[in-house]
Order: sequence, then structure tokens, then C-alpha cells
Amino acid sequence: MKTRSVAALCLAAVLLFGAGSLPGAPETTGQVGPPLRYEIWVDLDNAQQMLHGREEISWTNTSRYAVPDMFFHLYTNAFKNENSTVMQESKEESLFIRARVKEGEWGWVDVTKIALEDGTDLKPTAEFVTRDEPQHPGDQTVMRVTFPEPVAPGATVRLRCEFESRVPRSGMRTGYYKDSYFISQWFPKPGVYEEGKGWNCHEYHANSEFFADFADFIVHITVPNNFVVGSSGKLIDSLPNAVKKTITHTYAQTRIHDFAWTASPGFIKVEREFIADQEVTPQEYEETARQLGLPLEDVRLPNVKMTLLIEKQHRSQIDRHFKALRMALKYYGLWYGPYPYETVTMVDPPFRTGSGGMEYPTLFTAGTSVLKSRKVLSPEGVIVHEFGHGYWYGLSANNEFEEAWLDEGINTYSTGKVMAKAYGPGELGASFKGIPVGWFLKLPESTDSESDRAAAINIVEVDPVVTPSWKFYNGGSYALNVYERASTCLNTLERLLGADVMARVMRTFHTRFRFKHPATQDFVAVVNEVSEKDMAWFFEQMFSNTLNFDYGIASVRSVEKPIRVRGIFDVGGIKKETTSRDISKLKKKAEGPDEKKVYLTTVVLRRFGEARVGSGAPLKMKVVFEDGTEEVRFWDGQERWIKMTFEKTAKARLAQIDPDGVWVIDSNLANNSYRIKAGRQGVFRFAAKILFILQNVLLTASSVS
Amino acid sequence: MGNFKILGKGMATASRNYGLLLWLWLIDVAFALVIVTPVFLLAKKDFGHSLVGGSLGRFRFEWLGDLAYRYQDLLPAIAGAVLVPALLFMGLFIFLNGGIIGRVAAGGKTNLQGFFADCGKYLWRFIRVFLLSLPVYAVVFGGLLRLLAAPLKAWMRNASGEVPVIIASNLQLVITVLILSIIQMFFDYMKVHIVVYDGRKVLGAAAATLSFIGKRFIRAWGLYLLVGLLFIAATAAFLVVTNILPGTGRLAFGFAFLWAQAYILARIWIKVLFFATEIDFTRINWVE
Repeated sequence: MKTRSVAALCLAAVLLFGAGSLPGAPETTGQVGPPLRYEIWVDLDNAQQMLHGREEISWTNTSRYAVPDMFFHLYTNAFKNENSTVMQESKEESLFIRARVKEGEWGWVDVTKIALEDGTDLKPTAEFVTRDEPQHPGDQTVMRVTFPEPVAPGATVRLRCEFESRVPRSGMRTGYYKDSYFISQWFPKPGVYEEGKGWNCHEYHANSEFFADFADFIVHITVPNNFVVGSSGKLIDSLPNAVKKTITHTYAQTRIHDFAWTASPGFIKVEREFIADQEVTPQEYEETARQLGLPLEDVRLPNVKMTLLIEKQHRSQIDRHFKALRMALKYYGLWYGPYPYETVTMVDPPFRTGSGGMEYPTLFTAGTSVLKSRKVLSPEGVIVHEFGHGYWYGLSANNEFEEAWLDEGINTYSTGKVMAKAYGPGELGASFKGIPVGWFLKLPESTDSESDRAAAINIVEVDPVVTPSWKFYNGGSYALNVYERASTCLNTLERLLGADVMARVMRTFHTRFRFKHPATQDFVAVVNEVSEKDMAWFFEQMFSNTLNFDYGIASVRSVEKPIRVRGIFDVGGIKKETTSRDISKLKKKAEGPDEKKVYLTTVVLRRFGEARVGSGAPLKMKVVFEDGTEEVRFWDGQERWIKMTFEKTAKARLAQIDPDGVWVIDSNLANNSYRIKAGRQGVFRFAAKILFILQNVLLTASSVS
Repeated sequence: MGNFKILGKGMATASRNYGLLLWLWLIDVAFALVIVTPVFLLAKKDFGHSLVGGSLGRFRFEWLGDLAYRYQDLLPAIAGAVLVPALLFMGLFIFLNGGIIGRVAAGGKTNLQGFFADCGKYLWRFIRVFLLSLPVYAVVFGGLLRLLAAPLKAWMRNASGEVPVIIASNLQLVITVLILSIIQMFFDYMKVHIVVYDGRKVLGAAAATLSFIGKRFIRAWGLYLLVGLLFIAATAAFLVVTNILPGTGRLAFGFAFLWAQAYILARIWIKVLFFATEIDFTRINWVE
């Protein structure tokens, strides 16, 4: 056992001083390594719910500027008291669940020691900083230390830090319940130094996730020896201590930007292998390569070790969990590029730790319940989504504080595609007192993109999609904009560009910004480049503004074209009046067996919303006539309305704008079509259902009389 | 006479009074139609000419989101449009209960004249019964249920997994339903007592009912729960058939509509059955 710990230390040294590569390391040939390296030792004190930690940080200044200071995230202080930004924002929004921390359940982190490698104490320079507007001066989630000398460009600074942290009872994403822990955002973590801008280090906000730099990690976690541990990275060593009845697990992983772990005696640990050749057929590889315009070798997937930590009460759902993860590994891999790590750990979050449905590099939390209908695609949807964040956040690591749509929106869009491909529509998940309602009632089924759209159109006018996370009107606007609206806009974009072009856009964007921090303009640039179109207008209208998109058909009218009209006409220099009687006579004369009536059809299209289509993306309009013929015209959609006329030998039966369903972001699909002859059956069915519901409500009310 | 015999007799009485059932059903439909008509007209305007209209028969996000967006500001008005008629309907049934109990107690077929005569005759007395029930409900919801739920809540708070939480919360629901069934039964018997004995003093009726039920609580409650089980059975049968009905086609729609109305009629029948069994139970035990 001793030899194993020596090996681990050697490994740590190798990592910290930059030679060789770790097991689980992605290929980095020709790439500069990450600017950060961590080695962390942490002991979990289960009796006190405390973490005692030691951390060695190595940071290289890759900018052209001398850096005088360093900013650290101390996220756990969000749960320290009611002055924290999270608590203040939760109160402002009346998020009682978040704001209502009971006595004795607060969490905090104290940096007890911070010094340079040579022993220079930086603690006296440490101060809490609150730079985000509006200011919350009592917040202690960002700490700055000042170096005695600025760190020169290209130079590396090594810090030694000791910290103590109390785990909050059930914070947001991190917490404990009885003997179970989910530990995230737990260690002092430097912000991201941005060339020319300084440290990007936001406070912990109620409506935001995170941002950090890529780093190499070695983490030694000591827990009671009956605890099952799951963690970011790959397990490289386990060292039990018989005297203390503890066990120390060492995990390592290169090129990730966060590190989370979980520990509980109640977990069942199941390991399985994702074997790419069993999951993906040769035809699927070929089809993907063709669609993306890549050589076959570039789309081949590696095998991945999958680990599931699941609560005993959910053991019957083990296969459901693994199937969803296999689907996610397959499709994200095929579409966006091979998964670059050797391991992925899926955690069924410990009961009441408030940690479900969250992503961390190489580890994510799902979430399920004991009674789950098979028709409801949860936990599957959560698993696909949270694994997907391994790509959109984990690898293409945008700033979630400032432009959350880049991971949440793109990943919601990706999740919808995987779920549609792997499962099809799912039943609405509703339960009463823990019992699925679907066991008794036929609930509606939908795909993710359909439900996303329904949510998205209801939030358009509140905030632009591209808004800093903590500056959204409220949590609802944040969530619906960055997840559902962004996803729906991307579904629209896919239909505008075509599936193949969109697939290449996504692949190019992901590949180009793997292990980097992309911004919105990077995505727009890739869209323009790959599609060879200027789509800036689309992002301006749909992402940077609060403009409702609604084009529709205002009216459709078909009338017989008159042979002659009434009034005074100059005939051979004489003014002659044509009367109604003259017209009737002419009509009778014209009604021969070979004479066909001619009809004038007028269709009025309107732009009901403020958003407009851009140049090069005119709106398609189709009119179907009673003789079965069709006519298609296009409208540039810039004005508020347009009238189109058709002269045909048949009346119009139906007019339809956007008949191919390109504009899924349209907030009113009902006015996209107009049938001359109204169809009542659907309306009657709807009214009959409402009638039945009301009759029952009334009868129930009467029982109190 | 045992509870099952009383139940059988009550079922026969309730079924014989099909005129009464039809009349109550018409009132229920008419009230609901008052609310549904504007909804129907609105749906006709928004969807009648649209291709989306064809999918209105099933709840689909395609139009659900559109409706939510378009009528988001009308939510309080919609809530009011349901709540106000529900309260009015509740009030109306204080009036109608006199007719229901009066006619069932009188036996024979129901004629409108007799029905409304009984409605008017017992109205003021039933209003007082209703007023008396309000503080009882307040006590039950304000304190008693919380008190009874306290140990279950403590169990839930300290649970190590979901199963105890699901069991405890469903137990809480069952306890609530059972307590409410006792209170409903008590006030039902009070009304029956007033009709059967033509009692004018509500407090006197309350005391007599308390004494009457107190002496034979298990039997009375058992009978009440038996009728309650019929309601559960009817609801289960309704759901089973509804879930296997095809979703499209005019014939399917017609059958689904008739089946739904049959369920409403069954609910009304059970409502009458409650009173019929309570009348028989009161009379039989008086005789005994």
C-alpha cells in the first residue's frame, strides 16, 4: 500500500512540474498546457461536517501584462450569512427555499493560510472584493491577495494555501444530509485572468453558474472508510488508514476547470464500459463523416469507463441511467467530437443534498425518484443534458456568468436532438404526493423542442438572451431565456441553414473552442463562416433583443373576377353607362359549357411582432386552391403587411405562411395558416374537455354546501 | 338492516329518481356552459380557421404555449371566471339540497313543483347548517389536521429516503380525506334530520345528530365510506375506459363526450345516493 502512495506522490510531482502526461489525459500534442495546476489534500470530518484542506496552486501568467494580484472564488461563503450576494438576491426574488437556511446549517470557507512558495505570507493582503453591480458589500465569495512583486509575463507563481470549510446543510448544488455529501465549488479557486482586462472573478450569484480556467488537478480526498466516493477525474490510488478508520483516495485529471466530489455510505457503485464499436454502427460513422465533411477516422469514438453512484432506493433504475449515458456519449461524440477523457462519473444525488441536475468536469449529477413512469423520460433527459455539459461548459468553456446561453442554450438544443434521436417524445412528468399522475391519466407527450418552444415564446419580451446571468429580470427569465429560448432560436437557425450546415457549424465551433473560452461573437463568426451567409441579423434580432417574432396571415379572400364593372365608360367618344343589369346579361351569356370562372384571391400577410427576418431569408407563403394546385411566393417581411393577389380558375382553400415550419420561434403558430372553410372539430373537442373539467369542479364545490 | 341492504335500497331509490338526476345534470351543464361558451368562442376565433385547430382535441405544447403567451394577462380573470361560478354553484346547492333530500325522503318520483317547494322550505335552515359548518372546517383545517399530521411530518423530516416521505404524505392525504368524510357525514345527517323530522332548530338538530351518530358511529361511517368507495370505483372505471379510447375520429369524440357525461351523471347519482342511504339509515335506526 505504501508503494502505491509513493507512486501517487510521484505522479503529483510529475503533474505539478509539468512532465509527461497522466492517465486520462487528453491528447495535447502541439498545444500549450493549461495555465493552472492544483494539488489539493482534503479531509472530511463527518461529525462536524467540516472540510480541512491544503492546496498548492501553480499559475503561469500567459498574458503580456505584469499581474500584481490574484482573485479567488470562495464560493462556499455564499452560504455564510444573509449578507452574501446569493442570499440577498434570493431574498429580493423571494426564493424562500434558497434564502431559508435554518440555524446551524450555514456553510462557509476560511482561508487560514496563504503564502508564496518561498514562505512570503499573503494573508495580510487578503481582502474580500465585490465588484458586480448592484453591489452587495457584505459578500465574501471573492477574495483578492496582492503579490509583493507583480508576476511578470510568462512567469509562474506558486502558492500554498490552507483552508477550513463548513459544508452547508443544503446549499445550492452543494450540501449534506445525514452522512451523505455532495461537495462542489469548495476549494479556493483563482478567477480567470483575461488579457488586458484583468481578473474575471464574479461573486456567487443566485441566478448564475460558473467560470474558471483549465487546469491540471491532483486531489487527495480522505473520508471515513465506509464511505463510497465519486469524483471528477480518474482514481489513481486508495490508501486506507486502519487507525483512523479512514481512506484517502487520490484522483487526477488534466485540462479540466473544476473539481467536484461526493461521498456517502449509501451509494451503490456500478462500473460499465462504453464500447464505441458496439454502440455505433459503421453506417452511422459513414453518415456522420459525410454530413460533417470529415475523414472517417475523425469521427471514430473512443471507449469510456462509465461509473454510476446510485442511491439504494433507485437501484431498479440502473439500466435506465446507463442507457441514457451511452446515448449521450454516442451522439455528443459523433456530432461534436470524441469525448476526450477516460472516465465519466454519473451521480444519483444523495437524498436532500440539493445537488441534483448539475454538471462538473467528468462528473455530473442526475436525479430521479422512486416511482417513475417509463413513459416519462426522466432521469434520461437530465442525464443526457448534464453529460452534454461536459462538452458545452466542460470543453467549450464559456463564461457562464456573462453569457450563459452559450452552454445552457446550446446544450438544451443538443439534449433535445439526442432525446429525439434516442427516445422520441416523452410523457409530461407530473406526480402527486410522489405518485406519477401518468399512471392514472393520459398525459400529453412531446419532444424537448416542442416544450422548449412553448416556454421560450412566453419570455421573449423580458430580457435578451445575451444578458449577464445575475442581471436577468428574475430566475424565471434567466432560465427560460438561456435554456429554452436560446435552444428554440438554435432550432430555428438549424431549419434556416439546413441540418447538414448546422451540424458542421456546431462541430466547427466545438472543435475550434475546445479547451478555450468562447464568446457569443465567436459563435456568430463560425455560423457566418460555415454557412457562408451573414447571419448577424439573426443573432441581433433573436439573441440581443427582446423582439417578439410573429408573422401571420391576416385574411384570405377569393372572389369571382368581374367580367365588367359598373359605371360610365367612354365607348367610341360616347359616355355609356354599364349597369348591374348589363353585367347580369353578360354573365348569362358567358356561362357556356367551356367557360371557366376566374377568381381573384387576396392574401394579406402581417408582421404582428417587432422582430423581422433578415435579408436572404424571405418568408415563404403557400396558397392551396380548391382544384389542388398550389402557388408559392416569398415576402421579405420588412414592412408591417403585404397584400398578395392570385388570379386562378379556382378559389383558394388555404393559405399558409412558413409552411415548412422553419420559424419555430414564431409566438403564434395558429395564425400561420388560414382555411377559408373553418374546421370546428378541434375547437369542439377542446371546449368539451374544458366543459367536463368545469362540471367536475362545480360538483366538487357543491359537496361543501 | 345491515349497511349493504341500506346501500342496495339507497341505490334503487337514487336510480328511481332519474328525473331528479337529469335535472341536477342540466343545472351542472348549464353552469359550466356559462364559463365554457366564451372559451369556445375565443378558441373558434383563434383556431377555427387555422390548421393548428385540428390538434386542439389533445393537449399539445404547440398551442398550449401560444395560448399562454396570448392570454397571460387574463390569468386572474380566468381564475375568477372559474372561482366565482364555483362559489355560486356552492351557494345554489344549499338551496337545491333541500329539494334533493326532501324528494328522496318523500319517496316516489320527483316533480319540479315538489322539488322547488322543498328547496324553498329548507333553504333558511340549510343556510344556517352551512354557516355552522364554516367554523368546524376552520378548526379542522386550521389546527386539527396539522396536529394529526405533526408526527407524519416529523417522520418525513428525518427520513433517509423517499419511500417514507411518499408513504407519510399519502397517509396524510388519507387522514385528511377520512376526517373530512366524518365532517361531511355529520352535516349530511344534520340536513337529513331536519328534513325527516321537520326540525326547525339547527342547533337542536346538531345535538340530535351528534347523539345519533355518536351511538352508531362505526356503522354510520362505514355506510358513508361504502358510498365513497362507489365514487372511487366510478372514477377508476371512467379513467380506464378514457385511457383506452382512440384519440381521433368523430365517433371516438362522440363516445368520449357521452362517456364523460355518463361519469358526471354517475357523480350526481352518488351524490343522491349519499342522501338516500343516510335517510334510510336514519329511519331504520329510529324504528329500531
